[in-house]
Amino acid sequence: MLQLIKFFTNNRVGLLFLILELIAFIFIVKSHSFHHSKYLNSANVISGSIHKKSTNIKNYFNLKSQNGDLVKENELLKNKLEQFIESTDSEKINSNTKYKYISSKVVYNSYHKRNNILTIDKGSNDSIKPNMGVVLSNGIIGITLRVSKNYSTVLSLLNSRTKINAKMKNSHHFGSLEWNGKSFSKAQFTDLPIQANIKIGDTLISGGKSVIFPEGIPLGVITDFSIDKKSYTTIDVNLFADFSALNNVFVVNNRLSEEQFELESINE
Amino acid sequence: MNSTLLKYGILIILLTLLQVSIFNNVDLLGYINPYFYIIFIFVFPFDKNKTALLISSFLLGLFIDILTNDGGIHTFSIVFIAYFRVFLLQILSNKNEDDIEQINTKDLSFVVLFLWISILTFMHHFLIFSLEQFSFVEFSKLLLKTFLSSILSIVLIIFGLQLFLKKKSNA
Repeated sequence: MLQLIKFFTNNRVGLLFLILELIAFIFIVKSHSFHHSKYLNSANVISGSIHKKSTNIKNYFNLKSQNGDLVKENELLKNKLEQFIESTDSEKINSNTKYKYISSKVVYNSYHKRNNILTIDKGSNDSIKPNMGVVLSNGIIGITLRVSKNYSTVLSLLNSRTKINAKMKNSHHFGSLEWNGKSFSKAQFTDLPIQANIKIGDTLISGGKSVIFPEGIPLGVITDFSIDKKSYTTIDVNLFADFSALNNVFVVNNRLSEEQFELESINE
Repeated sequence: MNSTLLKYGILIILLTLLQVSIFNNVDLLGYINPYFYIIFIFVFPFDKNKTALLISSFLLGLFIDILTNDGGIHTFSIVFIAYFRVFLLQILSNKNEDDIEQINTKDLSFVVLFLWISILTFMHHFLIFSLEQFSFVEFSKLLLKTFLSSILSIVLIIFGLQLFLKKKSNA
């Protein structure tokens, strides 16, 4: 025992090194478990505001392309509204819609790592909670992870822990969308039954099986696939959303999600 | 002592901001980013005690991790090379530990300096990328990523080091 103490007093730097590395390693392990990454993340006031400042500066430089995107989205929404007015009877219009969208800005974007986590500038003050969907009009971005008062972190689709329910637009066969870490514009569609006849150019939309995301958000088109012994091995999907230029996103609040979660947990 | 503390405190904050706001957005070929902040390991003087170096590099890594949602991978990697920088320089320059304390980064020959920076940078980047993946499944891709990012970092660090040392000798 005495020798052990002697060793450590003689080798204080080595001991400090081991302690610091152990602390860092605990942080790494904690960050890999879903709900415990509360120690080090940028959903806090200081880092949130630093990211916000630098994003504000960056945004000046691409105002033009952002305007273009917004105009396009406006056009799409106007067309949808037109269709909606034409198609609905007055009884069908219901003020208690299932989904509520909260618009938000991405203040920290990341897409070149294997496991990407983003930060957005809305938090619990805007009634955002963990496990809500984050979407664009042309794609799914991710799921909220940790929430502080004014900021939240988002588990990106470009993360090995993310798996999103998706289906074929024309045949309603289900599968899930994952990311293999290679290119930020391509995701992989898995678990698709062989009965689904797919071809290159088919469109993928979000499936209705998810509590988090609304059904029917366009995700991408199939660019490549291979078949091995009567099952699909890899299906590459070109994503509509450009993860390298995220700015305005929407957080989806499903008002009935708690009810559905509760019911499903009783069944299990 | 206090002025040194202040100087390196400011340097830590400055390097953190530079890394997060500029170097993390380089995205060469879509995924290559330099990790310039480890220049801290190369400019930190040798005559200061090792405890100070370990703790200050721990803090620098921690700041970067918090701002980039990376858990603790930067902290782990920078503390690792902070601990081994003296051992490596001993081997490269054939000197014992006491001689190293007298050494000034300016006095090192370019070959030794280059090797010293390159090996530590490569070690750091390899740790970063393997901890990020948390597996060695795609080992060749991991090595390629490490190699490409390291080259970019080494060039920037050597360039930055020249500026830093020049400024120091003028002052």
